[in-house]
Amino acid sequence: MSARILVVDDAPEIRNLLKRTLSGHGHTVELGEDGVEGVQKARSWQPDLILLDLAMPRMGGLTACQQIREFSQAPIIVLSVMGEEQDKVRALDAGADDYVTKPFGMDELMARIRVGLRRAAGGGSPDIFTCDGLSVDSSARRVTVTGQEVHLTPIEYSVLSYLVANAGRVLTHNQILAHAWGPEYASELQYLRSFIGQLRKKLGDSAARPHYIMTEPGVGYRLRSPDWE
Amino acid sequence: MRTKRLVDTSLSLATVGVLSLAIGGLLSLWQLGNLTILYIPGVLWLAAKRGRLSALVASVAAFLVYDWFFIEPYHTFEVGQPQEWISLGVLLMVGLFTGEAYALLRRQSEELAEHDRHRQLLAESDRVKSSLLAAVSHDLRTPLAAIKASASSLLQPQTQFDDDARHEFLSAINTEADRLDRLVRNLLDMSRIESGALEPRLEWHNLSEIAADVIDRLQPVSDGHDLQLVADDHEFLAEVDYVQMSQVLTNLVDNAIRHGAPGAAVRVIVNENRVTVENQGSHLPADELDRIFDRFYRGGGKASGTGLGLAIAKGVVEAHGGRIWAENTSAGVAFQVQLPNRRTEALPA
Repeated sequence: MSARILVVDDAPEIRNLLKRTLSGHGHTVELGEDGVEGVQKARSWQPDLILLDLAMPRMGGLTACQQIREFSQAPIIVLSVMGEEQDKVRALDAGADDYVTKPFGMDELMARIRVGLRRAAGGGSPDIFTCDGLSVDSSARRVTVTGQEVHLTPIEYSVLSYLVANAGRVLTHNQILAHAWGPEYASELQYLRSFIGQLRKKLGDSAARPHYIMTEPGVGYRLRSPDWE
Repeated sequence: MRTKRLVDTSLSLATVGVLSLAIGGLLSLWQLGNLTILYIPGVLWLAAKRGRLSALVASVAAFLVYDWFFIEPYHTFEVGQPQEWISLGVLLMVGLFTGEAYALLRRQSEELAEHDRHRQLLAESDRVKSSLLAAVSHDLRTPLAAIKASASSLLQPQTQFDDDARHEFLSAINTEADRLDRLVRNLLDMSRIESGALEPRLEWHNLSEIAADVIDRLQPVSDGHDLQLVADDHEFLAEVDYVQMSQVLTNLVDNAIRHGAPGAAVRVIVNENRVTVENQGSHLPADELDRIFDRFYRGGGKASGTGLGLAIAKGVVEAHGGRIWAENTSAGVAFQVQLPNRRTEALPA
C-alpha cells in the first residue's frame, strides 16, 4: 500500500531519515519544518497521512493538529518524547489518531502507519475481527478466545467493540469513558482501570503481561492489531 | 519580634535596677563619681548580648535612675551641680555609641557568615556538577563508542561482512542506543529531583504489569542473567506514575544485574504494593546499605554505572510517599520498595 505521507519535524536528521525509510517502503514523502509549514502543506499537498512532531518552533504540533483537523481528516500520528504524556493526550483529544514516542523503532512506526492508512482507506471493521485467538463477531455480538465463548456484560462488550473498531490504535481514557459511559464519566480513571482489569481477566489476559489490551501509560489503551504481526 | 523587644526591655531594666542597687549599697564606701562607671559594663554587656535597643534602653534608664536617686536634689530630675551633667552625659553617650558599634559589628559578622554559607553551597553544587559530568561523560562514551565502532565497521568500503556479522553490528547499535536513552532519562529525572520538580502523575496501575514491561525490555541486555517475575495473577492496583515507577524498577533491575554473580537469576517479586528486586551475589557491608542510595555512590569498587540509578529510585519512591531500602538476603541483596497503601474503591460493574 503506497501512500502520500507528510513528515513535519523541526529536526533535519529525523526528517531526512524518515523520508528515506518511508520512500524505501514505497511511499511518496513531503517534508515540513514546523507547524505553520505543516498546516500549509497539509492543505495544498493533501497527504494521506501526516507524521507531526509535538515540540516545534513557530507553531507546535498541538496547534497544527487542531488547525489541520479544520479541513482534513487524514490520519495524524504524533511524534513526541517521553514525559509529554499530557501533550499527547491533548493532541489525541484534538483529533490526532495515534502517537509514537521518540526514540522509536521503525517497526513500531511502520505498524502505526499501516493501522492509520487502513482506517483512512475506510475499509471499516469487518463483521468478524480476529487477532491471535481473539475473535469478535459484531453482527452476532459474540466474543470467543481460542474458540471458547466469553460472556461479557453490555458495557464490557461496548468497550471491547470500541477497541476492536480502533484495533492497533490508541484510545485515550477520556475517549473510552465517554464512549461507554457518557461524557460525564470522562474523568473516572480509576473506574476505567479496574474495569479494564476485569475485561482482561475475562479474555484470559494475564494482569502482568496483557496480550490483547495493552496499557499506554498516562494516555489510554490499545487493542492488539492483526496488522502488527 | 514583639516578644524579643519585650524581653530586651525587661532585661535592660532589670540590669539597670541591679546595678543601681549595687551603687546604692556602695555609696557609703566610695565616691559617687567613680560609681557611675559601674553602669558601663552593664550597657556593654547588653549591647553585645541583646543588641542596639537593649543598650539604648539601659543607658536612658540608667540616666534617669541615676538622676532620680543619686543626684541632688534627690527624687527629682533636676540637677543641682553642673559637673554632674558631665557624668550623666558620658553615661548616655557610652550607651548610645557602644550600642551602635556592637550592632554594626554583629550585622557584619552575620553577613560574613551568610556569605560563607553561600560559598559553601556554591562549592557543593560545583562538586555535584563535576562529579555528574565525570560520571556522565564516562557512561555516555561507552554506548557511543560501541555505536561508533559498529557503524564505522559497516561503513568500511573494502570489508565484506557476512549476514551474521552485519546483524551483530546492527543490534549493537540498536541496544546501545536504548542504553543511551535510559541514561538520558536518568539525567532528566535526577535534575527534576534536585530541583524539586518531580511530581508523580498518579494513576492506578498493577505493579506487576510495570515489572513485566521492565523485564521484557531489559532481558535482551541482561548479560546472561535470567530475569524472573514472581507475581500473583490477580488485579491489585497501586497509585503510581507508570513512567517514573518503571524507571525505578529499570534502575533496580539494572543494578541487580551489574552486581549479581555472573549468570545468576534476578527476581522481581510483586506483592500488591510491595516490589522486591533481588539478586544472587555478594552481600553489602552494613554501612553501605544506606549509603548506596547517595548520589554518585558506587559501591564495591566495581566502577560501572553513574551512581545515579539508586538515588533516582529513592527520589521517585519518596515522591510517591513510599519507602525504599536494601537488605542482605541469604543469597545476595534485595531491594524493597513499599508504596503507601491506598486501595481502590470497589467498582460498580
